[in-house]
Amino acid sequence: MRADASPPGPPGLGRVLWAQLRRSPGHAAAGLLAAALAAAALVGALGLLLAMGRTLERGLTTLGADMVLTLPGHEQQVMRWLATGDAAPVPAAIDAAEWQRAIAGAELLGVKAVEAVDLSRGGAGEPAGERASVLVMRLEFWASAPMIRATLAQVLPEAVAVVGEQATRHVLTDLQPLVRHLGRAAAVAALGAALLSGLLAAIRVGERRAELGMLRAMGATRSYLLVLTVGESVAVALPGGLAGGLLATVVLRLLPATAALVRHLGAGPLLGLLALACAATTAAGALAALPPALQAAWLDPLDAVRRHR
Amino acid sequence: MIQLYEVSKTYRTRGQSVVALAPLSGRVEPGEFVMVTGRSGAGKSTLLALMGGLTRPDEGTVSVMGQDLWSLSDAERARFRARHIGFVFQFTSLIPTLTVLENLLLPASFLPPGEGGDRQRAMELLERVGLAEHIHRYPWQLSGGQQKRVAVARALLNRPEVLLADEPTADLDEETEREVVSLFQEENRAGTTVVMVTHSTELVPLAHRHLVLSGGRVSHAR
Repeated sequence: MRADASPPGPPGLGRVLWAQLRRSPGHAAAGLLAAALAAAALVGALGLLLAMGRTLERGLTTLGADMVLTLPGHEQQVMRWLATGDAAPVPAAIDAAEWQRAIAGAELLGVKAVEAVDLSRGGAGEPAGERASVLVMRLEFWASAPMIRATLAQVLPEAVAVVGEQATRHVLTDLQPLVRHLGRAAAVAALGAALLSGLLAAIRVGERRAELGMLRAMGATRSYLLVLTVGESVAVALPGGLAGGLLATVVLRLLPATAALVRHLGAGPLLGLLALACAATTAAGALAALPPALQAAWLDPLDAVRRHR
Repeated sequence: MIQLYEVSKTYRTRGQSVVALAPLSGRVEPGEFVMVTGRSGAGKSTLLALMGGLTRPDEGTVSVMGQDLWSLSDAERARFRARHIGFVFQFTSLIPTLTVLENLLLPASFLPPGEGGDRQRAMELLERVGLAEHIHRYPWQLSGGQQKRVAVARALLNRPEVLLADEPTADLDEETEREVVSLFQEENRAGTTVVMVTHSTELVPLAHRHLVLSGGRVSHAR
């Protein structure tokens, strides 16, 4: 019965590669972990960077140099609303008509329109009736936000003015240290993973010189040994990169600090980042394994089989 | 079968040159069993590696079955080795995570499908070496002698015309040594040309011809 379970023909390169991987589970696990860490840091840093860029772009595009007036104590909610388009509830406590009259009376230069928005239910907000949570001021591109803010401070002293671009940048600034740390971690992890991959490949080649020499004697070509050695690194780096990238994507989506930002990225860019991380870790693993692989392919078979068990 | 013409080999290490083989010419006829002996460093293994196209001679030509080995590309030479030459070394170098059967079938994977030995051939060989019951075992589950017999069977899988053995019986007990050598004799009787390097002078009478190497030269031939 057991004979049926065995492969029908000679073991192909894939089978030999798998057999070699099984020989050193510790090496494989270390390579897998290193690739996973590198990919996770890469996806984390690039994902956040991309998301911040998207958010900034979105804030600047949709709001331009807009200014938002609200009552004191709600600046943080308004800033987040401006940056992400999503707000926590802000009570509709402003007399919209009275504030609009005050703005009109101030004869401000560069004001295109003033809209009253109700954010009492949070989210993106809706046009307000008599009572509003905020007043959104659409400004001309040449309008001076500091001058308008200074004038408003005189005619509407109870209002707090939040400038759109500043709000966007303010919210993103909170995440900049995280991105910096992740970026450094990604660089260190990628370098570490590549070095480890090269080191493990060199150890494998050193340990298996006799077998490699025997394979050459049996008829293996240099390219076979090259593919076998590099293939082992790739076979570890690819799933490691995929696992690390997926983990980073899930964490980015679950962490409250990053979830709102990453939401704007959508599935496409995240999948792209995942593919990039896999490709980067695989390429790094393959490149690092290349010198030992070349050494394996060009070793002297006689020396290898005689001097190494 | 094997033709060497003015073949020489010198190894250079740390600025020093060591002559492994002085210019040497000779033939091994088809179906011959040649035993090569000599002291360590006499050039025995180098001679064998040259015959198998594993080491490039500094000068001279090596032909096997009329084919100049070094006129072939590396890939062609590798294919030629897989098809026509079987090697047995002192160390078996079996892959520990492949089963006995898979290790045995490995040389066939270097030839196009149908050209190398198949599973049936592998089973025949395992029957011959008395290991048919062990096909699903791993090398580390076998004794040293059993591993050696797998290595011999592996060398014979693709039905090579030439069998080159470099001290295949070193480290073996007498009984296993006899088993291995009788395998070589069987193959030789079936028409395979065998060249075997050994330190064991007791085995010499079993061969058709005996070469003694000393300092990279043939000092005695019978």
